Amino acid sequence: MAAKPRGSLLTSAIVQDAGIAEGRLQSRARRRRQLGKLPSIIGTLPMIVVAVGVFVIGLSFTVVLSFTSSKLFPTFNFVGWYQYERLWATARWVESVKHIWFYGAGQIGLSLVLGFLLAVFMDQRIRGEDTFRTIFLYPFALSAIITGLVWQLMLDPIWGLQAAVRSWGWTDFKFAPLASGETALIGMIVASTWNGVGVTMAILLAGLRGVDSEIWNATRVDGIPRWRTYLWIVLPMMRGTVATAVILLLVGVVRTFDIVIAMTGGGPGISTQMPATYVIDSINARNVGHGMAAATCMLLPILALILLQVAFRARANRRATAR
Amino acid sequence: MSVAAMAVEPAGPKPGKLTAGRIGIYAFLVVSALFFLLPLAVMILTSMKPMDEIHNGNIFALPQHPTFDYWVKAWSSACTGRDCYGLSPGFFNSVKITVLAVPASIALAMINGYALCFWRYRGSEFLFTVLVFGAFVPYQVLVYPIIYALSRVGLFGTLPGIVIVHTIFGMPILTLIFRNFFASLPVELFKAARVDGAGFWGIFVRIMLPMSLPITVVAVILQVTGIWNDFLFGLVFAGHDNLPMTVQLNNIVRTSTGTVEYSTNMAATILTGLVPLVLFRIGQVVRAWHRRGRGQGVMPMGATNSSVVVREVSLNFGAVEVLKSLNLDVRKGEFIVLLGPSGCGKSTLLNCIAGLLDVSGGQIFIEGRNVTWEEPKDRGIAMVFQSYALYPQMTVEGNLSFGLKNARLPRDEIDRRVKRASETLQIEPLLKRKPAALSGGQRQRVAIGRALVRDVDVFLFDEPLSNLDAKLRSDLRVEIKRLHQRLKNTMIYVTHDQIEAMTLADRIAVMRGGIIQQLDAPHAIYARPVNRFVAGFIGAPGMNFIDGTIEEAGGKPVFRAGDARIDLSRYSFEGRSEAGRKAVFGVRPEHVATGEAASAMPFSAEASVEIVEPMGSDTLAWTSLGGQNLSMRADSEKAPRPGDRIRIGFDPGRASIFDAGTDMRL
Repeated sequence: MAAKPRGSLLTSAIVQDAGIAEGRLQSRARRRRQLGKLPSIIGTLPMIVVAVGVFVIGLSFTVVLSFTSSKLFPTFNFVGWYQYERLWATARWVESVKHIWFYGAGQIGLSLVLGFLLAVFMDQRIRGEDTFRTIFLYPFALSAIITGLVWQLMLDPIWGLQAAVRSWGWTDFKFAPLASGETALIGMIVASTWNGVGVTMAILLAGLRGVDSEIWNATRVDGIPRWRTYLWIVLPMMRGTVATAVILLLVGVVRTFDIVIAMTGGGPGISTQMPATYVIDSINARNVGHGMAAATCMLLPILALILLQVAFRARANRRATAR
Repeated sequence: MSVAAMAVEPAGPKPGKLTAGRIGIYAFLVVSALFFLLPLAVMILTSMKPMDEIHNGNIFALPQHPTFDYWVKAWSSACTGRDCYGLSPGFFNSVKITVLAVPASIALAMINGYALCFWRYRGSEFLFTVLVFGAFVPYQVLVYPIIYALSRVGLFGTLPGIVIVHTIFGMPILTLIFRNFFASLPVELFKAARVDGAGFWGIFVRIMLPMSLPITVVAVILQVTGIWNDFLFGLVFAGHDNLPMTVQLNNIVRTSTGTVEYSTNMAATILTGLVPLVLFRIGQVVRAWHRRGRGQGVMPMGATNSSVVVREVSLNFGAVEVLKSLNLDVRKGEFIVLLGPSGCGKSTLLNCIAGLLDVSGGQIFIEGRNVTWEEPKDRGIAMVFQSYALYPQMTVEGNLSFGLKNARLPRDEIDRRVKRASETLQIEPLLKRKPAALSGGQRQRVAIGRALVRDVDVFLFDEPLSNLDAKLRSDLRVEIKRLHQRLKNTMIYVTHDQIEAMTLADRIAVMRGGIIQQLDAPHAIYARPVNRFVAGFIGAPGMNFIDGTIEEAGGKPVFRAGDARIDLSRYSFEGRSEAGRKAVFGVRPEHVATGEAASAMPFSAEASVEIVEPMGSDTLAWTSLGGQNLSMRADSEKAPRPGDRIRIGFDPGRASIFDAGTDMRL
């Protein structure tokens, strides 16, 4: 019994010694492991620069400038919410925002409905699926500038579709939306849907094909009509796919710029001006502070979208852990 | 119920014919295709017409004097402002920008994706998140900060400037693509390369780079198209000397004085669109070629019953014969199990009976009706699926009643059936829940409930218990058996699990290669397998097979293998036994006795124990007979140990003997 304290002292000393050695080995290994990551950090330096330099610092720069009175060059003369107050008092900006809502709702709605219809019809084990797919998708390979120019001709009141149909004898046919400020946006919706609906179709078709084939078998045994299966069973199961399609469409809508320039140049009047054209015009007009306020406003719906997604994911996680 | 007495003409339409519905589908697709093709046609037609033809005809009219003059003009002499060089400078600018920016952005994205997948460091995931967020930011928001930064370093309005901008904005999507691609590679590959001593760049260049060709093709097509079609960045960043083709095109169109010269504009438009269109076509070809390489998936297979009759049913997928002139009669109220290894045709047969697959030949009768071409819902069957196939957005009650609502049954009848089924299966407390809130066993019960409410004579089960754990599987197995005893419906049940088959079936159909090998009561299949495949497939641990020859000794048949001679006078041969025939002697491990019991057997021999495998309830001991392995089941309490010399014995009357050539029972 008496020898025990000494014994344990000795052992603890050895353990301590081993502990030190172990600790040293560990820290050396840690250092080596960190060193091993060095090439990875060097290799991704461009990514670090882009992520931090452009997407963090660049964006912050935009937001900061929106609170200054910058003209052509950035100044840091802070003017509070002045630029925003002026922005929302400018008729052209307010109109642009109304336009983007109308255009966005129209284009996304039309693309989803037409895209889903096309996907469903493509899913009927048709002959020549690849040919149809090529036809529906090729416009997407063309730039928005080309799309805009072609549809400008198609919708030209004197030489376009309207004139052609009239020359076939249907003399009171009317479809020349670009001629009037009230309908010009509709023409743009048609053109951009032509350009992009193929992608929506392809995404939704992939979603359709991803549905468990046993679900289809079950509905056939249950004798559920096919159209009803698509609408009430398959479509709700494809929520994720539809969300993907909507997000892609939405991002495209917020950016809308090229097609406006090519198709209408913003006219007639200001009837097809968009926030994106407003920002670029403000920069060109050497009114950077004002333009950056507009740009920051453009960022808001995207931020809302991301927050929404974060919230959805958090909810899904909570549900998963609750079970 | 003889087959001849059944209706000769199959009910239901024979598939593959052009019905009104099919014509409607094609009509819709063709009209849509026209909508997509018209602008292209207008572009081409207009570019080949002089202005007076445009003035006098309509845009869809064919050119009377087709000319390529406007193409030449658009390419070389159309004016943009004061310069009249056509599109060609823009074309070469676009080529320059693309050739520089595409390799740069793809190389960087590749390294990013590789590092993010295999060499994560602290903060790398955060960087990736920021990058993906960047993919969603409207470009216009970042235009000014980049203008400012580039002009500070003197690159604004230069070729390197526009290349940098394209590299920045291409990075998020391309990095995502490469990261997902590398994530799909087996991580063992990376680990093996590290063990082999390769570092960050070594693995990248020698292992990853050569494997990423297909995804690189995709990335190149994507990026070339994106850069070629870009307008905004070219307009803002490229500078006057480097304006890309799209900007030039817009300038040409905007420059027109007086009437719009649509011919030139459309020619210019086509010229600008040619590169991405050609690329798009290449992408389609690559895709088709890629898909062909992957080949066709294997379809599942199925079964029948005596209220179900399957006559000479065959099914081909292309050149592959999945079912070969198969016959099966299922009696009323019988429980038939289709058993076999995967790919044997059992699920295919079941799906053919259900009408989910169309047969290539033969006929199927259910309750005396020829249903070969009828829709599944009209066949009087119900089916339970392996993955349950519950409709996820409906409650249990909704799932049970959906088919009935579609059949327009009265409300109270639906309620009555749902109530009865949920009582039978004890799922009443679950009726208001959705499938996601149910356990695997509960889901399977609901799936069975959905079959029950259909009130039909024939139930089809497609491996319904395979997704459940062992305990639940045995519980539900008993429940299905109880259900069958109560309902007395005809049931056809597909499984690869022989315990399920043995416990549930009135008769088992053992399948292989699209053919029913043996259809018999479970015990008969166990005791008298018709061939070596069935003998080996049924029973666990598997039957012992000993190669040897059949000889005659003193007028009695004898099986000789090495130094062992087994007297076969107690074995009842199917036909005549011929002396000298090469044969396989099969005896089940559980029929081999040891010790005193062995000595009492008609055949016994000395053997030494080589290996023992304890299995819980009993122990499997490996000895040898005639120089070949022989396993036997022994009581765990008195199991022999390796090296023991023991006496083994069995009754040759309970053995099975197969022809060594044909594998058929002798």
